[in-house]
Amino acid sequence: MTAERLYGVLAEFDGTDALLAAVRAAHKAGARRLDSYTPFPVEPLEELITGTQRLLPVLAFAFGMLGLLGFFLLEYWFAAVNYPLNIGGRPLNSWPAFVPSCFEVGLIWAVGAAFVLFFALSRMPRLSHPLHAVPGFDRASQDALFLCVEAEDPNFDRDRLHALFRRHRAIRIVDVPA
Amino acid sequence: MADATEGSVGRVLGAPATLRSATEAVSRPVLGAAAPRWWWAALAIAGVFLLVLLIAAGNLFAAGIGIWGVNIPVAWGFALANYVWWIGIASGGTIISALFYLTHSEWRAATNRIAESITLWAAACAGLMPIFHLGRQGLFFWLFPYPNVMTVWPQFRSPLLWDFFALICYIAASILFWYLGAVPDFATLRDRATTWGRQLFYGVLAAGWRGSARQWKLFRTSYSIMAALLAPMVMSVHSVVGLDFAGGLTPGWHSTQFPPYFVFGAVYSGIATVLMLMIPVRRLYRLEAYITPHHFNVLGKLMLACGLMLTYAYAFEAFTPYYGQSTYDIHMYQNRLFGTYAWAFWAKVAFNCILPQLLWLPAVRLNQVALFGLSLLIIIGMWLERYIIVLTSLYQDFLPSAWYVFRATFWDWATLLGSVGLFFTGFLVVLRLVPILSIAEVRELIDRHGAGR
Repeated sequence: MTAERLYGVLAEFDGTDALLAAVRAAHKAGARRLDSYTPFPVEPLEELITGTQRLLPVLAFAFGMLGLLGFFLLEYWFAAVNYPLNIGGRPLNSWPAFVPSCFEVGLIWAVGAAFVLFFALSRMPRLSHPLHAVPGFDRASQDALFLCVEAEDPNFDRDRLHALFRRHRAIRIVDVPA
Repeated sequence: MADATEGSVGRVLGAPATLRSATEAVSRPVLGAAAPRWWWAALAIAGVFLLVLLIAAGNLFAAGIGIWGVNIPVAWGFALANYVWWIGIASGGTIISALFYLTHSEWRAATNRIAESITLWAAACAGLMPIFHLGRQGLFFWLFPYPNVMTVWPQFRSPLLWDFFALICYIAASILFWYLGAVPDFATLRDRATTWGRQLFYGVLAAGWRGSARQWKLFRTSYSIMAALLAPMVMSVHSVVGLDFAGGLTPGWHSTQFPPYFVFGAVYSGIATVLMLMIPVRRLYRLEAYITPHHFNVLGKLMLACGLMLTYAYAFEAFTPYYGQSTYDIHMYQNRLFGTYAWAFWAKVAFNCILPQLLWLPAVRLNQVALFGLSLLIIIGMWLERYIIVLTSLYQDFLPSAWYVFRATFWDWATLLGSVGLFFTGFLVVLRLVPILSIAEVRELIDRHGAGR
């Protein structure tokens, strides 16, 4: 068994409370490379495992502002520099009239950035993953809760993890081949 | 209607819902071997109307907009009324799914996918109308600011161009929001699919979703940001639609109240459409455990609130001409009340203001037949509202020698009914391919309310 290269040790738990307790215990035991797999979001789990997500909102805001200001400058250049149009003697830089378009463009840049960053930061799309090969893991998207400690964890110890998961009444424990 | 098996008011879940039963109930209609008979029948009817749209559009492209009843001064006819109507319906769907996500409303979970799917197809119908309405449809790309041999740029001071930007940005954002929200559900379908083709189809759509805490965190962060951006976006989109009118000097249009007035109406018609489609979908897909009387009650109250806001806007629309004392404004408003199109005005008042007052009664809010009927009338009433705004302001304008009575032709009606066919064809395809409730969000509710696994 030890000769086989592992992706990690996967355990299934009955209920979010059991899963949370197991995550806390694994954390206390020194595991850092771990992730839970649940069919619905569990907020306390996210807090424990990833903490606050700061990069995505900041970047989405930055892209939104870039879209907004960039498009405003474009509009200014279109209407006041490259092809100045005199509309009833109004100033060429009639900035209030430029606001609606660049507002919408800024929003779509921010929305688009939030969308792309979700995929980029969560390393998606990735259609093949060692966990998908585990029989029964398909229930992670339906009604089962899993916790996996990955082999890349500096403190990874298969036997200790098995013992820990057993103590926390895991329904089943599986070694996931890489 | 509210018997024990259907749950009760105040409960977002009907009695016996578990994680497994919710997953099964919502994915069964999508993964079932054959589509039910009613689905094929509905698709056949919608398909006929879609065909009508294709023929109407073909004739329009070949012969020009002279096939419609429009003529100067009534340059905006059905196409503009249809456009505002459809984009209003679309906006209501976004309000339900984006705004009420931000308020953490639990009833949203079972309604957002229906609402967003309505948004997508209503926005598609809306997008067609301004293009149809152009004299030379093939040149619509002139709206894009692209370097061209004429060395001119679009006129960025015009509300009509703002509208173009608002609409394409909004449609793009709606598609991204809809798809992102469905990724966890696509993963469920991928894992439940039994045929190779479906595993591949939903596998690609799920993009490798595993439901890990990291993915959930990013998902929820990204989704909240999108919801927080879409809420102001949808307000701005329909406000800009209002500015299309308010930017003109035409009596009855040139009013600062148009942006909020249009937003009220948009949300109103959107909620009515969601309710109208939710009632049959719930029945046909046996989703009584997830769409409960609580949802009907909440949406009924919201619809009533929107109706009251809209009635307020109507009242102001009546007040300003007489307060302002402009001959043309007063003439326009007298025309609304007693002119050629007065029948539509009074029907609108009945459908949008008077009949919805029945929603004050809890019994009406819980009676699905009554809700369905009221929603349908509101949707018709909202179309009539736009019909009146467009026509009564135009058909007797400043110059009496130019007055002209618009009469809809066969092709006007074919375009309107054809767009309804396009909408329902699209909605039925969504109904067959995508879980019509957000399974992940329903699971969250089940976990929170302790119904177990």
